Amino acid sequence: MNRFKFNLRSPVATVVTIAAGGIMLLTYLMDLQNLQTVILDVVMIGAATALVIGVVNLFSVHVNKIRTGDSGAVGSAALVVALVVTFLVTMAEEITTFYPDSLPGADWILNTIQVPVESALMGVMAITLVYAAARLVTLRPNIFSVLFVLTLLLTMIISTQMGLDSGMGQGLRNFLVHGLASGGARGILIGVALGTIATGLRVLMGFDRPYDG
Amino acid sequence: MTLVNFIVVVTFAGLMVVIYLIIQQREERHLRDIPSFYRLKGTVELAVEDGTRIHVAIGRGDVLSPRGAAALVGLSMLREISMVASESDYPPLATAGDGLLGILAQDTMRSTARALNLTRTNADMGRVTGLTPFSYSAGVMPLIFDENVSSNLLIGSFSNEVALITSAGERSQTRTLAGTDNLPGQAILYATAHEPLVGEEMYAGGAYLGAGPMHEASLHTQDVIRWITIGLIIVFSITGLLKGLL
Repeated sequence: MNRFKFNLRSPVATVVTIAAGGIMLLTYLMDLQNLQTVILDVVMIGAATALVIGVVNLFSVHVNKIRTGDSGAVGSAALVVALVVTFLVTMAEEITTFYPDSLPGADWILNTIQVPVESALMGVMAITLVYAAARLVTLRPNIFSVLFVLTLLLTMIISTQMGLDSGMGQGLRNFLVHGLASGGARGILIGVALGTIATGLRVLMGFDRPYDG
Repeated sequence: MTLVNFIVVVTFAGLMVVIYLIIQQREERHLRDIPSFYRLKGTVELAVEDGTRIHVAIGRGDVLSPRGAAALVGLSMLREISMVASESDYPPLATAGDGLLGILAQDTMRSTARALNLTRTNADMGRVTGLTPFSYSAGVMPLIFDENVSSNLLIGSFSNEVALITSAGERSQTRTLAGTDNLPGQAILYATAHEPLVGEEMYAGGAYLGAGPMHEASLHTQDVIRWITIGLIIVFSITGLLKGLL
């Protein structure tokens, strides 16, 4: 099994990645603000194109599902209809002059359909989290799970501010929020930052190639 | 400030190369135990034998921001899993919440298929399921039920909405290994995933799945820099304390 089989795209893509990444890194280190802006502008256009490709991918996957009569074909049909209607309404509203103001537009779709649906999902998520916290100790019965649940309960009590707005309560809250939680968060963030730098450098040195290489 | 940045980056890169060269000459590996990754290996092999699918979610990390690093780790792991599972009847399924990541996921799977000399590749196996946090999660949830998935690997940038994905995994009785660079996301994954990866554990994925000696070298470099950082924090704290006292 040859993992690094040769194809022409691979070296070209690798050279472009290393060169672009290297120049971008230099703009941060050497204060080349203008060059950085130019590169970012070019990249933003690419990212916007990728967004459109993402929508096309979403559309084609669901059209395929409808065509093959997949188990979720009804949901796919709803998605395709919603996508087409939103696209047409937005285009008609933004580009043409004949779209009447009295008809619902893109803002109406966003505020009346998408926002309530996402809010409902947020509600489902809240219930999911309560359920997850309640059964965490049975899922992973160890000291850390117990500590997690105790901290959760304590934080919830503290956030209600019942009798904790003065004296010892205030001190306890400061110790938990600004001491333990803040210190722990910083520790985790340092680890994440180190991981981020290492990943970036691997890509810059050509060892990680998240593209066809 | 730029000089400090330059020194950090050059030191980091230099250490990675030095440790990489040392690792190349050694036969044995020195990695601390992260049981989640060993179990993941077993799960992937079991999925191939069982005729089930591994779902790799690489999240919504914008590649143009620091959050993109988490997505790149997800892509590395997707590559390693694809190398094992692509030949089965049910190749891995990758989902992304960003157009660029969707393209990179498809590209990763295509290049793996080519490396394995596979003639058939299905572009539908790398999907963009939604472009907002909740639409992404809502798009992933039915896939876990409908696509014969036996395990979920969530590696990338996820926030609170990841709870919906892990709950779908729970209801479909599939195993979930998950890590994110987002702090609230990590807290949620700790409570909801079967195998949560905390902090920088996620970035170690490539090293544990055998993505190459450079992954291992970068892991050791992170350890060295971490100890230096810890030392500096202690020194500066003591100095500050003494200044305050004197």
